Amino acid sequence: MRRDARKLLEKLNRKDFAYREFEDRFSETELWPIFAAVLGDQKVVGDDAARLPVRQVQQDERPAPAARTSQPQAAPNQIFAQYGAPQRRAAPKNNVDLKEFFNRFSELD
Amino acid sequence: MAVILLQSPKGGTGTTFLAAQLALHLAGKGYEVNALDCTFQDSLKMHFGFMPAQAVPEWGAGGGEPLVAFGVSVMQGHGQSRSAAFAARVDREFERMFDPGHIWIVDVASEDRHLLELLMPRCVLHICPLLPTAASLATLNRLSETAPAMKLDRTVFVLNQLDDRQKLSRHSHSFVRDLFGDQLLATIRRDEAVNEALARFELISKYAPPSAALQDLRLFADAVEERIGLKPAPGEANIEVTGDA
Repeated sequence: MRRDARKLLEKLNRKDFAYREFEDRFSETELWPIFAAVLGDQKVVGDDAARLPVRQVQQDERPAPAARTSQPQAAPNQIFAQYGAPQRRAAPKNNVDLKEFFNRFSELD
Repeated sequence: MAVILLQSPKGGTGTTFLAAQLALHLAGKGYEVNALDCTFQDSLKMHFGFMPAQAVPEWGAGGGEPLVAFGVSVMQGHGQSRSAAFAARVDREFERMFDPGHIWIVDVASEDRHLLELLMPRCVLHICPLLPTAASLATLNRLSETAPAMKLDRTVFVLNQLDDRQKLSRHSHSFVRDLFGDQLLATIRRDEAVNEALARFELISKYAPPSAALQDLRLFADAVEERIGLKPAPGEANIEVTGDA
């Protein structure tokens, strides 16, 4: 059990609870066609959309595997920090570069 | 005055639920809040503990005093908003219709594009709930006829019913977060306590104080408050949402 989870249990005065960290291995990370469809839709992203046809995105723009680096253990109060008010990366709102977007997306859990 | 619209082009994304919770949390902070149900379903009231058979007074037009619960005045605006004269009234006397001393939370039905487009130029914020599903993401292109979703300055998104046990849910979270940046205002975890509390006509904060969704809803309300620059409420909170600190 992760140290932060154990500390959380101690805080809650519990011995156990159903806990599992759902983490995707890279091989499980999919570039869902619905994402490509959204990115290619001018009514969603404007003029930056559809730089590449959706089918080409699916076939050609698969990113290189991202190297996993060890992450520091999260403090107990950080376990749920990704919910509620989202932690954000730099947003590609102004210019949507599909290749760059999918590369970055592939690094996510 | 702040008129906040909640509407999603996809039905069943939790629009009414989020409208009610936002109203409750803002009232809990001490704001004067009106919740206006502009849907045929008439289910907004249930989130405030009212029974399905309980009639909600029609907004304006001598419909009677609104139902008040937990500091929120609940009104039914479906009939009024679909009347022939409504658009003209909005143009002519918007501030009279939407009392400037209150925050107005307006629940707009998914198919009611007319009402959305009528009120959008006059609202401070349009909150569009999304689900981490293909069907919901596919409707992002239905938000506006005039501008792409990413360019809608007053539109923000809330990703509802997130479930980290599901792969598509996790990936959708990452996708929406990266695509929309700070246009993604909040995320709400899927939590059966929400449904169970509603079935008991109880507040989530009473039925399940440790609810994960409840924590997210508090952050959602904080984010709305910050986003539209609400001035601090003048007095003490008129209702405490227990278990929500």
